[in-house]
Amino acid sequence: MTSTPEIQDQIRRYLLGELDDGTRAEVEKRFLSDGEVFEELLVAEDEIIDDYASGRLDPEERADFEAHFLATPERQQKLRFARALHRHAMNLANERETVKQPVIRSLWFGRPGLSWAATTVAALALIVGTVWFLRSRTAPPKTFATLTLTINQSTRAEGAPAAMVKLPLAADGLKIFLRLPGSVPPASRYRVVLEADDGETRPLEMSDQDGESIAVVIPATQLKRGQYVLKIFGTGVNGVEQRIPGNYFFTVE
Amino acid sequence: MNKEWALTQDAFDRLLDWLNADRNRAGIRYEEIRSRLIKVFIGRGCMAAEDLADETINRVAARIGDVARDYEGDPASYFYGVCQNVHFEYVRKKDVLDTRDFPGSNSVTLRTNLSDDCEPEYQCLERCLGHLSNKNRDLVLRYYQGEKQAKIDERKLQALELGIAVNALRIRAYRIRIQLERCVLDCLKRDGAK
Repeated sequence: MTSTPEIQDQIRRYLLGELDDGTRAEVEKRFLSDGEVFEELLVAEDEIIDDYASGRLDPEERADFEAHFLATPERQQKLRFARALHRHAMNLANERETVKQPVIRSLWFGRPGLSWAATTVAALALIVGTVWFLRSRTAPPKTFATLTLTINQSTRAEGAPAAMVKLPLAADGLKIFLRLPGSVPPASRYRVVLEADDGETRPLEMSDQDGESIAVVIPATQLKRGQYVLKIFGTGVNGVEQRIPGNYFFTVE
Repeated sequence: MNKEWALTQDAFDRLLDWLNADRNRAGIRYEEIRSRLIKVFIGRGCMAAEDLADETINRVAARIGDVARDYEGDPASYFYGVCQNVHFEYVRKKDVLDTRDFPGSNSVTLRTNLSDDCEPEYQCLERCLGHLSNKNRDLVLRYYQGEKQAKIDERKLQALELGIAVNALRIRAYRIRIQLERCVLDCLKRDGAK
């Protein structure tokens, strides 16, 4: 295949609707006349869907993807297929991890005269199992549904719009990208707090950060139906923490 | 173009002759051009991409006598020129409809579909994986495992083991994925019909 990084980049930008009309026309002409370039388009289409499904697009690309790429039912269907494929691959990887332990145990028990060792191993297995169980309950999500929120200066009571998230999530966690307001000077450190409609608040760990947005993750198991608001606190170079004015609203249904 | 014009067998035969003197090759080329036109329309966010591709082909067929006689160069380029006109007219019509009757309807549809669960696809996928050969199933599942750097490293290793370049592996995985995707779509249609 004659694909080069330049062609791949151009096709990616085409798919995100980032090309000007003239370049777009040139690229489309090549799709029609060159089978290899057309196949590259098809491959890139799936890759960009995978990147979106697993939260690997940056905020700008994600916005382009949702506004431009997902405009047709065909591509929305492709996204659902991609989510299913990733979920299957993830489940398979987890299954492979869990079958390793019984094999090791059977090697120990199969040896006569090693009952003391068996007892030790049983105790160890119990400890390992307990640790594994506890860790698995808090294991970080591997697949994400994503949401991009912009800051709002009004309150929910004043009719501020809230993005919708529907349960079940079809991913291990919800990754929320919070666009930082341009009017606020960048902080050296950020802290995000989630506030539920029953007044309960808790801090969220940040997973990504760049100059324009920060991302937080909420595991799917912790998502309950209700209305939520996210608040950001930034620590400036002087070490003083201040709340960034405004709220990020979303509703889980 | 006369909008009442319908594709006739004679025009279609002449269109195929123009694409290639060999009828089998002409048929393949026709299908290639049609599927690529559909992708171009989808890429432009058109809801009725297949209809627009067929409209493009019909327009070329309607003037195939002149085109076959006068046009020099790759037929695909000619189709592309007609596709531009068809798209232009589509956008003009759509703008009128959107502003009159359906303001903001697309964004509502999109949000609904984005939050859809993939459970039906997942169930169908499990069945469809069973239809693949062991070799292809292993290849595609391994290709899509892992995250970030681990995934990149795994793919390099996978390509090395298969004795092919990473890009060739990418294409191979894509072709298997397409088979799976078609199978899942058929499965969803069957399940939906029950």
